[in-house]
Amino acid sequence: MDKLKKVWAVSSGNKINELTTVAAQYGESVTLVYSGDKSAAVNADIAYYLGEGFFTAYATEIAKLVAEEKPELVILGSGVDSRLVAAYIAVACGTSVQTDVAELSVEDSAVITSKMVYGGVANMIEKSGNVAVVCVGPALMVPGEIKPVKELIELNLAENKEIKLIEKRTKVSSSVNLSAAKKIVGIGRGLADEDALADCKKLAETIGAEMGCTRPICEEKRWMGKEFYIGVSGVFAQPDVYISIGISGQVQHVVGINKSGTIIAIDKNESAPIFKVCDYGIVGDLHKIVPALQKLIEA
Amino acid sequence: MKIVVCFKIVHDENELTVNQDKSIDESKAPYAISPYDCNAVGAAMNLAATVVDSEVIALTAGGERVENGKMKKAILSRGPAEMYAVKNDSLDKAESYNVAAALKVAIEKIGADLIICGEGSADLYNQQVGNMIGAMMGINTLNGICGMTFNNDILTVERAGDDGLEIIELKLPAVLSVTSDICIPKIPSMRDILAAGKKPSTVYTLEELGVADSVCVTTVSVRAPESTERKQIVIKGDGDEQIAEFYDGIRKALM
Repeated sequence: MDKLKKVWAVSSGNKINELTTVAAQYGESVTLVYSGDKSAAVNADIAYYLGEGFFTAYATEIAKLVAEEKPELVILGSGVDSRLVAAYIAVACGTSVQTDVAELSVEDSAVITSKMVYGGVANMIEKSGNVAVVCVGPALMVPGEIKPVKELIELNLAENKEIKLIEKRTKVSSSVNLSAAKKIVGIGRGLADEDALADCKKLAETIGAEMGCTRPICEEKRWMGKEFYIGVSGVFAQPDVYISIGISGQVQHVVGINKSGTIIAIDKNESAPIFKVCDYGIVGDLHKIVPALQKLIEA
Repeated sequence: MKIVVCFKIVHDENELTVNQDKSIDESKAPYAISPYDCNAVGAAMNLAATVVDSEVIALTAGGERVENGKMKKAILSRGPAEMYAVKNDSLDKAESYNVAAALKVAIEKIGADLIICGEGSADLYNQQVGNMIGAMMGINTLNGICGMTFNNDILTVERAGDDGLEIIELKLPAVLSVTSDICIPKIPSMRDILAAGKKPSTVYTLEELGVADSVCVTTVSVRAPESTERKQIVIKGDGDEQIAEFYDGIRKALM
């Protein structure tokens, strides 16, 4: 594979090993720009340390630095901070950002990327111009062997003081790891009430499955947290068995389950798209079917 | 406070069809307001309701679709007083840099204290346009916003940050990209829809705005992935017999 001369990795302090490892795969030299813990820099030929401040408040200055140095490829993560800074970098370089990139390659000095579009209906392959600004997705975030940085340079960049971080409430990290679960019971808007939710949870417990859900269940009903949401912009699950309950099967959700071994669907709407992508399905009232299944399993 | 809320008109992705060669046919899919932009409009209306002397204006960019009467009603029935659009055929498929450049010039012409964008569009979901508008305008810019209040000239926002919730204060003018959980978009009533038809709309062309159309990233292909073959054994009915038959089929898989 062709290698580029200069590849930069830009990080708020998260996943520095992963980002610099990806950068080293595509570039002869790797430059890191980062904030947070000063001692966290690894793998880079040159590491620019921004300081401990609020990463996004450095956006304008980071963009200026990158635009002056004109690397051929700039790699960032896919979190909100990375996306924001990526936009500033791209604007300073007069280009767009290739986001949520699942595959990356270099051909004739052009950076070729692949990402999911239309809520998962299709993959889009794009080719960048002079400077490629790429936010890589989880598939490319593989950690590598850790090497010390060759040169650390502390920058004294101006923070944007007009954006003031008043408070930060650290997330209570949930123990659920849906992308590794073997069995998942996924629920959707078809559930009438929290009694139905309790029935589904009981079923999951009985068969040793994790619970997952569609986006409206976290955002509208707020029954489950965001870490349980399966589909585009959420979890990509690949369990041996996925049991879909009260889910119509919109593409945005199906893209997150279509690598499952067996897909089982329960929904009242015969024409729901979920029945086109399932192995076993039953058309009927889930509020009747789920408790009946529970009895059959327990029998 | 003058709020400009940006929205995109997309083809409903649930109605897209896949051609034999795995390319995507949009032609039969009806237009829709990109769903996350409905949250942005809702958030703009909710904020405006708490600020005296405020108005909300909707702005889009695209080709012929920006003059679609149904889409005009769809957006204005959600509350904005007026709609603006930047029209050029290239904007339907334009990369985020070009969309942001077009919107930026329109925003400067309309004038705005606060620009609100949805998290990302339903078709490409790059989550870049709002951020890029801010970077181009050189004003305070944040994404991932899931709550906002305005008091004494200070906007206090809640941001779903990478490591947890951040509470941030910032000054106007600003560009905010809001997440879809900032509010549940209201469903417009028939009255709202009828009233929306009478609200004013203005269309600018790219040439009028003096925005050049540049190409930085080219699309090589858009193709549906190979789909997994599924058995599709579907039982109809929820009587005891049908449930038992269904259970027989899935029993092995559940173990």
